[in-house]
Amino acid sequence: MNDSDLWRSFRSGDETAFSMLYKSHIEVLYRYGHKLTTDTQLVEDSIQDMFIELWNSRKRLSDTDSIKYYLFRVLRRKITQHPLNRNVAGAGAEISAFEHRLFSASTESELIDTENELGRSRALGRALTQLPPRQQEVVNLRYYHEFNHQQIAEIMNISLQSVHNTLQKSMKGLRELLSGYSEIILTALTFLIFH
Amino acid sequence: MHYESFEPEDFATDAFFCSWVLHPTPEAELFWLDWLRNNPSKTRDIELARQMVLLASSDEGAMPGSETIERIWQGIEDGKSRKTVMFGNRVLWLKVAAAVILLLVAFGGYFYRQSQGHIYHTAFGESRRVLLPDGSLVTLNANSSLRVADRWGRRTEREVWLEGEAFFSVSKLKKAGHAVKFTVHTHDLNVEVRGTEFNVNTRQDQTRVVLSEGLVHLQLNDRSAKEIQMKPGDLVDFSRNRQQLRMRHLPDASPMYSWKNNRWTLNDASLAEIAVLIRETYGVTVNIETDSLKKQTVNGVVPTDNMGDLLSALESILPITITHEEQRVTIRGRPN
Repeated sequence: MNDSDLWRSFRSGDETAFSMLYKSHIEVLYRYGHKLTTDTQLVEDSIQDMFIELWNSRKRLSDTDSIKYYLFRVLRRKITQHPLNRNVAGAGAEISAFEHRLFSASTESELIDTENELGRSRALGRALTQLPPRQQEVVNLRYYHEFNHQQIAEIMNISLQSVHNTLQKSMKGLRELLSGYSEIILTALTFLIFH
Repeated sequence: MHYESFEPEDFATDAFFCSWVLHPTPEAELFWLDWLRNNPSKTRDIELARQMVLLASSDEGAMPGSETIERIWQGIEDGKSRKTVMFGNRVLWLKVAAAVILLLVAFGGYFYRQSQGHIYHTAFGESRRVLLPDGSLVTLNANSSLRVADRWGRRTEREVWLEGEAFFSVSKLKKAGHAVKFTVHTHDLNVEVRGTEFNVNTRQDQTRVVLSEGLVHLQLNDRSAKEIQMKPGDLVDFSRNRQQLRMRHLPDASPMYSWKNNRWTLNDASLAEIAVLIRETYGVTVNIETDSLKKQTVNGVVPTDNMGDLLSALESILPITITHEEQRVTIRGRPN
């Protein structure tokens, strides 16, 4: 069943469709929720409230061909606008403070220290978390959840240009982190192409 | 495309480039390898961009456990049924309350029991897959009903009521360290499981249970309240009305529930037996012309997506002619 059909069945009051809707999205919603706040209870409560409201207002909802996109938009609004939430990744004022922390001294030394394979992959795994929260969120929505720029703009309620700029900035950051390793990782591809 | 002037971060934010890295297709593979052959100086940038995209697409974030998933769902179910009624008028509110109490008293336990749960029903010739709130999957055969308790998982038990035939894939569920029971009630017996796969058929004035995987307990609905433990491959028939219990073991039980994949596996099945299956599944009457024809047996797998296909398959296996007019199917011998 595609998204439009599932959504329609749900709106017509089909309980099975509703539970399928929940089952197929709970994991991505939970993961995304934790990108927005460190408060687990807030994530769970927001998801719960969202689904209850969805069910109670199902007759008034309009068509959608991407349920995931729809749910992400609602969940983000719920979490970021929650009165108890002090931990919002995307709240504008906090961004610049985080930005200063980007590639701090500890990061640099970490890169130099990690000579062995294990240390390298660990450092790489952490690289994403060294980006400012807002950049992490945009990167996560774009590359992990694979939303397009327009959808990200709508989900985060920012301009298209802002999505574009944030992505560009994030990738510059990742590039700096990775360029230290470029010698090692090159071998594989060179082999692939020229042999 | 002006890819020649691209920096690594430009590649990494390019939609076509990303889709090549994350979901490579032969066409994209061809394009990029070809492009690299023509721009060998860009090899390093491309590989760097590839690594950036791969890194960006990773997520080491929190994953909800099955307990969490179940708990949130439970909250949703509870919140859903608790419609927020906001009556400004207190008198009206009292009237409503009084009416509800009257109704409850009038209908008593009967009303309470009947209003519980959600009923899934299939028509003749239709089968349906029902996903239960705990993730268990039920394939409901034609002309069957499944009632699912409302307060699912609220109590310690998961309960459904079946009339007709269904195949159950029950997921294991634990609460506070204890496995939560899953019970299928029929007219004749209760099937109790923890997590397993089995088929239940209540047609023909009896309940037939066939176990595919795991362990199940049967509780007969008669005075004896006898308990039977089944192992994979076991088949149990019990009729409460006829007080008849039969058990056997099948080396391969899968033919008993191949209907869920839209086919019947027939092992020495007589035409008379097949006629009963056709009647139960498609809701038509089936007449077989002669008694000798009724005893003809069939071996093989036949499609059941629709009755037309099934009938022509039977015609090609046996020397018979089948005519189908409205709700009547007639099977005649064919001289050969």
